[in-house]
Amino acid sequence: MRPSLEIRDLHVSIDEKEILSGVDLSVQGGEVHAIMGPNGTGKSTLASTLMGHPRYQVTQGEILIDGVDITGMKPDERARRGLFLAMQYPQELSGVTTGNFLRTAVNSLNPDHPMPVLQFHKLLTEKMKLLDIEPDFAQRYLNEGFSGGEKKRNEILQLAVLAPRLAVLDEIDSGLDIDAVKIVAHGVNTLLSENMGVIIITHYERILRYVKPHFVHILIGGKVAVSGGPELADELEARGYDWIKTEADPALAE
Amino acid sequence: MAETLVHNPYLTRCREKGEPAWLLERREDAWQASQSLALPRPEKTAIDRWGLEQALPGHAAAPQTAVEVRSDAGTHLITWNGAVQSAQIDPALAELGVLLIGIDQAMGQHPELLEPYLASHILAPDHLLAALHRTYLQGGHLLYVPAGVEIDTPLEIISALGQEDAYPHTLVVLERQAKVTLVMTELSIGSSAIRVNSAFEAFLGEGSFLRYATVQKLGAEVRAFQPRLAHLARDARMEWIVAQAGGGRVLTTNQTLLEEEGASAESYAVFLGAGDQVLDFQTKMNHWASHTSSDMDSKGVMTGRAKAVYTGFTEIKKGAHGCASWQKEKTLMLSDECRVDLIPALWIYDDDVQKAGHAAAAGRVNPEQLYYLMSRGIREKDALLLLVTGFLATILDRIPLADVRDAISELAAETIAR
Repeated sequence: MRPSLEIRDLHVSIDEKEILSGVDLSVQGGEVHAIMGPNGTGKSTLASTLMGHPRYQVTQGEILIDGVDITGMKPDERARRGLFLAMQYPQELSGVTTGNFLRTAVNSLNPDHPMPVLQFHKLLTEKMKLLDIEPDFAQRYLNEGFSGGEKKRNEILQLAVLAPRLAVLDEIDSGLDIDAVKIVAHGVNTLLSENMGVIIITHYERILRYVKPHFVHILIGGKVAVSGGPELADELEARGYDWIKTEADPALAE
Repeated sequence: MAETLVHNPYLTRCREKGEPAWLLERREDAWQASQSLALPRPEKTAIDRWGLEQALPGHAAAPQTAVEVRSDAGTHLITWNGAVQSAQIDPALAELGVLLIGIDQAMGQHPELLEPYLASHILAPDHLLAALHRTYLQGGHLLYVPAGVEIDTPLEIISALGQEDAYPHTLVVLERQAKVTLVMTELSIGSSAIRVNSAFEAFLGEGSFLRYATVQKLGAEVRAFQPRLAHLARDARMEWIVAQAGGGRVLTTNQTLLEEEGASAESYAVFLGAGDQVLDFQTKMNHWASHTSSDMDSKGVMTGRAKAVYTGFTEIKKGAHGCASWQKEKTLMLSDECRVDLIPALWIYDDDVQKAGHAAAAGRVNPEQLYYLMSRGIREKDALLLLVTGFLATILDRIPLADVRDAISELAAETIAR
């Protein structure tokens, strides 16, 4: 079955303040959706809410994966249903190697079929090669002392190893130089198939030159203000965000 | 000493067993002293209802269930309530005069080795539980390493306790320039609703080295007083590795007396608490001579309604010049109901100090880290275990014994699961 993610009328608050005010979105396997928008418009809130960050309160609406409502599920349950979030600010964890962490994650996703150490090692090596990652990476403590670029690459490595059904990439290109953006994009393109849907959340259209979206959605004021094809991203590059406020939804332009 | 002597039937038993006169005399003195001594008073732990002072040594009868404990170490000693169950020594070590035998055997075969050390040391201030240990000490372990003998492979003691109160004593004597690693595990067999008053005492001769790793995983109902004490002669070095995980009510002191110049000690300790466990854990470094150094690094993980008080004492006596000492203690609290008190104490009476200081921190799980791990599909308990593993890594990385590292990781996992 092709993966599917349905977001219906999603309202989300942090500390009683509403950030998302009715987001609708539908993503199928094989599709790449870009969610763009100015700062502070709720893009990262959407990403964190999808993953189940405890700070974000869903006050209305629902999120379904493959038709199952996951709105009340904990992050680990969502992950086991195939959701993955490449985080904007990955945590550092001293004393736990990247390899140990990833093996724990792989075996958590398939508790009935724990992966033999050698097979895991082979998988990890293959994916590290894909992303041009040094072999000693797996022995380093998780994100500890990593540069910004290394952390982002580690997120994509996790994506590659865990092979989710639905991947959300939150500002995966921020802080990366152009070569790193190309490597990350190459990784995502290689992994893309009918069995994985992708949401790319980004402030800049730069990454979209390397990972071609099928759909582009502009989030403004906690809502999808306008949706379109890849040409929408080009238009943003040329004209910025202000025209949407007036053309797409005059109410938003005050 | 008390005016009227109070009769103690246990001492009659010892006399009838034919114990040496010096030991009977020490037991009698300790017993008379105990009449007027009070319980120790740890600053933040009330131990007066633990009933430790009522513990009476049993008969060290054979356990009702066979002691199914094995050791992979070539040289090992396994005891049950202090009585030897199995003992093995590498013939090459035996040839060199190394002894790893029960205290009872030592009393018959080598009383002259015990006499200078056994039940002789009185800590100041003395207290009721220490005096009762000297009165009742029953069975236990002797490790003796002659001068200049260096042993590369770790030796092992497994002390199984259960069914009745116990007073086992572990004595380690290293002659000058001896070097050895001893791993000791304390565990419960059968009912653990017992009281334990066990002591460890080590005497390190000039230039000797002892790495002593102790893993305490007694049952949850055990109430225990567990003093551990080491005396270091000139240039001796001691490395403590202490994993304190078991027992329902435990008071333990881990004390190093740096008695002569150049002596040094390191202590790496992990303490774990879950359920209703109460632990009072004290580490003490006493710098009594010049140019002695010590380093303590302790980490605790607490969950459930467990309570721990950790005290790190450093003393530098007046006249002990050029000493260096550092202590660090850190805890990770996994539940809202657990409690930890960290008490660093520095008593420095000399002006010429090379280095002295401490760092203490009690923290909780970082919810962002937990979220990050769980977002990869890792269940909360497994995620907590990874966080705990990471937390303990700085200590585990310093333990050169893979078996002990694994034992600590396993105990940490059990603690979280409880």
